[in-house]
Amino acid sequence: MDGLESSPTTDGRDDSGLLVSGLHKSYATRHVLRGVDLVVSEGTITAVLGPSGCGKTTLLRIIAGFLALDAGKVVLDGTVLDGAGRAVPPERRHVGIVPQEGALFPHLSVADNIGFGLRRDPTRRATVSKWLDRLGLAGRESARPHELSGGQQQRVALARALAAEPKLVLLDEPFSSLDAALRGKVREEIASVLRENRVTALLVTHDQQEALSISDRVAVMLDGNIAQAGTPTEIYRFPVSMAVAEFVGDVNIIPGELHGGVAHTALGRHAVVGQPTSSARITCRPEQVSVRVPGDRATVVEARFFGADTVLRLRLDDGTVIVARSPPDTMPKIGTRADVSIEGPVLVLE
Amino acid sequence: MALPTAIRTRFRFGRSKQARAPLWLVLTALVGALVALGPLVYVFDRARSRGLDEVQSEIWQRRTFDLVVRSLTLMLVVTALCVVIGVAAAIVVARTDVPFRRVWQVVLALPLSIPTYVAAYTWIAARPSLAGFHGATIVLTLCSYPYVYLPVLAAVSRLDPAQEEVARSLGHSSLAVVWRVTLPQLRPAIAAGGLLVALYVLSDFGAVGTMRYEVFTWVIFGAYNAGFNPARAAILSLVLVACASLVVMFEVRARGAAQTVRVGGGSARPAPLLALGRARSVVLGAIAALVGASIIFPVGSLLRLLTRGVDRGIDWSALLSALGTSLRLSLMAAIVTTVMAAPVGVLAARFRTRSSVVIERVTYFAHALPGIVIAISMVYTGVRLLRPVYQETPLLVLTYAVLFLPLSVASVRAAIEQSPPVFEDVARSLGRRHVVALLTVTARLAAPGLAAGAAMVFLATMKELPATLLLHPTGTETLATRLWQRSGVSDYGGAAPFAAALVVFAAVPTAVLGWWSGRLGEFPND
Repeated sequence: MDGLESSPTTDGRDDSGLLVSGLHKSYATRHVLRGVDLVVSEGTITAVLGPSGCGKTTLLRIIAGFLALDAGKVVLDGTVLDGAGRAVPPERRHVGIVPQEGALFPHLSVADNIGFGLRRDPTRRATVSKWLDRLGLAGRESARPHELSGGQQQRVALARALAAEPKLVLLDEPFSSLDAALRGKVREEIASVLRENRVTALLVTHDQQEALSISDRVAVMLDGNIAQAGTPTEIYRFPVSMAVAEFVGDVNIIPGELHGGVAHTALGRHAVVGQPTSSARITCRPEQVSVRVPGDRATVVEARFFGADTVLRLRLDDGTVIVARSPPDTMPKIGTRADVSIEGPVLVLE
Repeated sequence: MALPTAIRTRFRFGRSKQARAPLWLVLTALVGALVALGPLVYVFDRARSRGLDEVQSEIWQRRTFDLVVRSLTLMLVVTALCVVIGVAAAIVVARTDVPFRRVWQVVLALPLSIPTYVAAYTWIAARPSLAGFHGATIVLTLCSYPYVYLPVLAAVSRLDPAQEEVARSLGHSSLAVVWRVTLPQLRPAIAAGGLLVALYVLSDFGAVGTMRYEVFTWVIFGAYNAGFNPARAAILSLVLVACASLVVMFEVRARGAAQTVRVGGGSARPAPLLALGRARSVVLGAIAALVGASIIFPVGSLLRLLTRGVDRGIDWSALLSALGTSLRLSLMAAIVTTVMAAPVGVLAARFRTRSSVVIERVTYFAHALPGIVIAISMVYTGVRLLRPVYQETPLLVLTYAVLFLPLSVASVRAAIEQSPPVFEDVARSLGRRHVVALLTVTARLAAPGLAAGAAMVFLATMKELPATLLLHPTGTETLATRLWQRSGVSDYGGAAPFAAALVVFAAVPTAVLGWWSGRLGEFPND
C-alpha cells in the first residue's frame, strides 16, 4: 500500500519531503506519542486524522519545533531538525504554520501580516501583492484582521505562511473554526493553492471528510500511533483494523462464517477482502447495503432524511440491525418490510 | 479517549507552557528575584551585629512587649471595624433598594486611593487631640475598610439568588436568610479581606506616624532615624516580619478557600433587591455618613486648610521643586520596575514550571513585608554593598522597584497572558528568534497592559512615604516628605499645598486608573 517503495530512487530525490521516525513524547505521566512513523513526499498533502487526544497536535508542535521530542527523529529535505544532538530552533526550520483560528497579528494590516516573514527589501511588496492576488484578497491589503471574515482570515494566514517559502506547511485544524457552509469552499480553495504551488503540507484534523477529500495521503492516528497510512481510498475501503474502519466511517457488523475465502451470512455469500482469520468479523459500509421495498427479509426500524441521501436502520429477521445509506428517493415508512442485499465484497477485520 | 485529554488538547498551538524557558529569560528573572529578596539578608546581618545576647535582651523587654501588644490591639480593633463596615456596606449596596446604590458602589471604594498619611493629616489638623490610638484607629478604619468591602461585594454579586429563594420558601424571614444563607457563603471573602486589612495595619507607617502612635513601624523608624540605634531597628523589623508572616499564612489559606467556594457560572439573573421599607432613610444616612467621614471630610478639610495656606501665601518654589522631584523619581521608578518585572512576568505567564513559580513568589514576598522593613533593609544593603549610591537617587529608585515589583509583575503577567502564545509561535515559524518574537509581537500586543502597570507603579511611588523618608537624597524633597515635615511641626496650613498636590497628582489618578482597569484596591500602598 505504501507507494514509496516503488518510486524511483534517484540521488538527492529520495530524501526530499518530511520524514518522521520512531517519535516518542511523554508529558509528566502520559505517553502521548508512542513511536510515530510518518512520511510526507515533497509537493504532496498528507492529513493526520485522529480523534481529540490522540497526540496529533503534539506531533505537529514537535515538527514545528515548539516541543522537544523524547526519542526518534524529524528530518526535512535531508536535514535533521530534531533527534540528533541540538534541535534546530523553530525560526530556522523553514516550517510554516497555519493555526486553528488563523492567529493573524491583530496589530498589523493584512499586507504586513503576509509580509511578516519576509526580508525588508524591494521585493517584499511584490511578493505580498502576488499572494494577495493569488488568494483573492487584492484590495484588502490595508484591512485589519478583525475586519475580515473567518474564511478571509484563514486565507491570509495561509498566505503569510506560504510567502516565506517554507519547505513544509503545517495546518492545525485550519477549517474547524469556520461555519459549515463556508468550510467546504475555503477547504477547496486552500487545497488548490497548496497544489498549484506544489507545497509540501501536513494537515491535522479530526474531520474524516476533510482528510479524505483534500489530501493525497491520510495517516490515521490512534492512541499515539499511526494506525494506518495510505491513500484516502485505501484507508476507507481497506482499513487494517476495526478501529480505523470505525473512525473513518460507519461500519455494519454482520454475523456469519468464513469458508475458504467466502463469507456466508444471512444475506447470502460474499467475496472477501482483508485477512480472513478465525476471529475476524464480517463488515460492510452502509452505502454497500441496498434496500428494496416491498420485501420480506427485514423490517425498517428507523428512517432519516439527509437531503442528498437517506439513512435507514433495518432489523433482519435473525435480529441483526444493519444500517443502509440509500438515494433520497427511498423513504419507506417505519415498519415496512424490505429486502436487503450487499453489493461488492465484504471486509473482514480483526 | 479520557475526557481530561480531550480538554487539554483544546489548547492547540497555544500550549507553549510545557516548553522549557530559555536560559536568558530565567537569568534575567533571577536578577529581579535576587534584588527583591537579597536586602532581607542584611537585616539579619545587622540584627546579629551586636551578638545574640543583645538580640534576646532586646526582644525580651518590657517596652518590646508593650509594643507588640499595642500593634496587635490596633490591628485587631481596626480589622474588626473594617469587617463590620465592609460587609454591611457591601450587602446594602448590592442587595437592598437603598437610593443611589450604583453611585455608592463606586464611591465606597475610593478611600483606598487616599494615602493614609494625607487622611491622618486632615484629621489631626482638624482635631489635634485625636493623636494616638483613637486617631490611628479612625484613619486606618476609614482608609482600609474597602479591602473587605470590595471582595465581599464581588462575592455577593456572584451568589446564586435561587438559594436564598429556597430559604425564603422554607419559612425564613429575609433577615434570617442573610444571616443563615448569605453570610456563611461570604465567609471566605470576609476572611480574605479581613486578613488583608490586618496585614495592612501592621505595615502602615503614614497613619500611625502622623498620629504619633507607637506601633512597630513608627518605633522602627524612630530607632533608626532619631534614636541612632540601627541594631534595634533591625531586630524590631524581624519581629514585625514574623507577625506579618503569620498573617500572610492565614491570608493565603483564606484566599485558597475563597476560590473553591465559587459556584458554577455564577448567578443566571440579578438577585432581587431587599426592600428596606421604613429603614430606608436610616440605611441611607449610615452610608452617607460613611462616605462623609472617609471621603468628604478629608477632602473638605484639605480645601479649608488650603484656603488658609493661600491666605498666608504659598511657597511656590518649594512646591514646584517638590512636585518636580516626585514626578522625576516616579518616572524613573516606573521604568526601572517595569523593566525588572518584565522577565518575571513573561516567565510566569508563558512557562509555568516549578522554578518559574518560585521566582514569581519570591518577588511577591516583598508584598508581604512592611514598606519600612524593605526601606531599612535597603539602607543596610546600601551601606554594605552600594556605598557609592547610598543616600543617592539610584538606591531610592531601586528601593521603589523592590517595593512595587509585585504590583508590576502582576500587571506584566496579566498583559502577557492576554496576548495568546500562538502569535509568538507563528512569528518564530516565520523566522524570528524567540526574543525578537517576544519584543516585536507579544510586547506590542501587551503594550496597553504594560503601560497601565507602569502607571500604577508611577502613582504608587508618588504616594510612598517611609522609604522616601529614609532614603531620599539629602537636600531634595518630594511632596510626601514636605507634607511629613510640615505636619510634623504642626504647620498644617503650610502642609496643605503639598497634600493637595498629592491628592491631585496621585490619589485622583489612582482612583481613575483603578476604576478603568477594574483593579482598585488590589494592592495596598502607603
